[in-house]
Amino acid sequence: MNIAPTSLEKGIRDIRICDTFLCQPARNKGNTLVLQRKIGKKAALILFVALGPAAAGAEGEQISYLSCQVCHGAAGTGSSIPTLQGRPYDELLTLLTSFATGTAQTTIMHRFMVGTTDADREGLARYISQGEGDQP
Amino acid sequence: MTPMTRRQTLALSTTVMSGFLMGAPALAQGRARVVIVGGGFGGAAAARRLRRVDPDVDVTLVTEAAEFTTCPFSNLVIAGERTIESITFGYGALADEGIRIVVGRATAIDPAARLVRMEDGAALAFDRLVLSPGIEMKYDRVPGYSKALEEVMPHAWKAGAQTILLRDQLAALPQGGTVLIAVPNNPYRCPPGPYERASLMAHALSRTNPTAKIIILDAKDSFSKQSLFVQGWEALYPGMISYVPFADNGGILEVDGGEMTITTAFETFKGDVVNFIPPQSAPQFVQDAGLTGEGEWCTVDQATFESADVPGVHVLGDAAIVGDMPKSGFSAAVQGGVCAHVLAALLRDRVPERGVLLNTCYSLVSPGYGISVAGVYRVAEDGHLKSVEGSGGTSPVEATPEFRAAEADHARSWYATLTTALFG
Repeated sequence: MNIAPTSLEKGIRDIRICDTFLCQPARNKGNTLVLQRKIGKKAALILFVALGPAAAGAEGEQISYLSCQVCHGAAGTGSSIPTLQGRPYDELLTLLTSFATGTAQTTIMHRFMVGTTDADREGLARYISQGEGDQP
Repeated sequence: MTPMTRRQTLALSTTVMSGFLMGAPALAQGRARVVIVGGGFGGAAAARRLRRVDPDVDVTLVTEAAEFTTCPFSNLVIAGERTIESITFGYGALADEGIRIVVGRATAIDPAARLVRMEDGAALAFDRLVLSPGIEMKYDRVPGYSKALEEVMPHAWKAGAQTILLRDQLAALPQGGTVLIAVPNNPYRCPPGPYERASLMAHALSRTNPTAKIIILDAKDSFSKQSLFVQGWEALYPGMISYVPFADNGGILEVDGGEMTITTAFETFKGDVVNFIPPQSAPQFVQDAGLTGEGEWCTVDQATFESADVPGVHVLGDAAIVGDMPKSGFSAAVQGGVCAHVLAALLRDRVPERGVLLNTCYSLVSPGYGISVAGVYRVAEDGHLKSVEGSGGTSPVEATPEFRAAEADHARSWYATLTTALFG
């Protein structure tokens, strides 16, 4: 069966409340999404829905990041493959771009990055730097 | 208390499960039910990702055994470099996240009733079904070969007891003895796997049995990362591994488990150890459900993994043809994760988003000498999941020992990170 036929913003973790209300996303406020629904002509019901860790970032980037996470894990595991967590946007984008242009020496990353677009790399750098994908 | 047999335990678990899913509609009301068949890389990835993407979906993972032994790194076990325990994982972490684990064999799919039928008679109801069931051996394609013969000539192409059998046979190889490895034609699980196996067997034999020989009888004329493998063999194990391509063997006509021989069109080969890797297909229950059309592998929408033949059923991993992606654990894990996003979207009537998919197959020529092949995949306008032109490819032929050592380290890191993410 289908649940919550809404076009709510991607990544909302607790959407059960929307089974009974047709919600419209109003604004994103910190870690909370404010939803409101008009009842009658004037009254508005406002709901606060807690956002889970998958909230930020376009889903396309979340999906692409799945492949990164196959090799790049959490920090402090002793892995020879560096963690991506906690790295700022500029550092990540510069690195990914240098792989794509072949100016950085790697065993494998350049083979991946030559297959990406500028938009792919910007999106990934943004998504990773926001830390939203750190959840395993 | 009388201990239950394993079979009784399985029957109980599936009965309880189906009772919950089917007999208690009030509990299930409002919650979509996804059943995932297959407890390997693809199934575990789909289940765990779906829990995170949409905690309101009931996720049931059907797995044939209570533990999963990975094919990746099983060649290290055969070579005596790792224990079987170190490549075997349970499902406790998945159960802790709220994924229902059903240990048992799925034997049939009823797409109209949206039921998976289990060997013990239980049935699991689903709104959407994910199949990541892996492969089945085709025992009937070569005269003389049979399921019983896998105890004599182990394929070890599903990891576990077969891996241990081949490991023990290799350890008992007489001095100067011969190992035969028969490799099927494409497509099959893990294209570079047989050649990594030959490499790691040679690594073990070069220390304990340096006059032993390994002969690879291939049903094709070339293979994944061939120039890199051959370069490594010549450097590390000169003269130990012979490669006989299809052009030089003409195909296997017969195997004889008593004589331990493989007869090809041109010659009969005798082995002290015979690792016969048969041709493979999607499992029979998947074929019986009409999911493979006229062929032996599942045809799917390459963006959503939904079957081209049976709506509502998604197939991924080794059992499916997923565009240009190879049949690898890495690919299955990525496809499982992507499929979770697809399901979450479809269950809410959203259009699934798309991303870029990657694959890497690391192979160990020795424990300190790694090589790789990489791929970047994107759904093209024609709906085909295509390898992006100019991307991916293999490790360089010209490389320093440090480069090979780094790739071997990365292979171990990849394995640890992925298995921790899926089962830890």
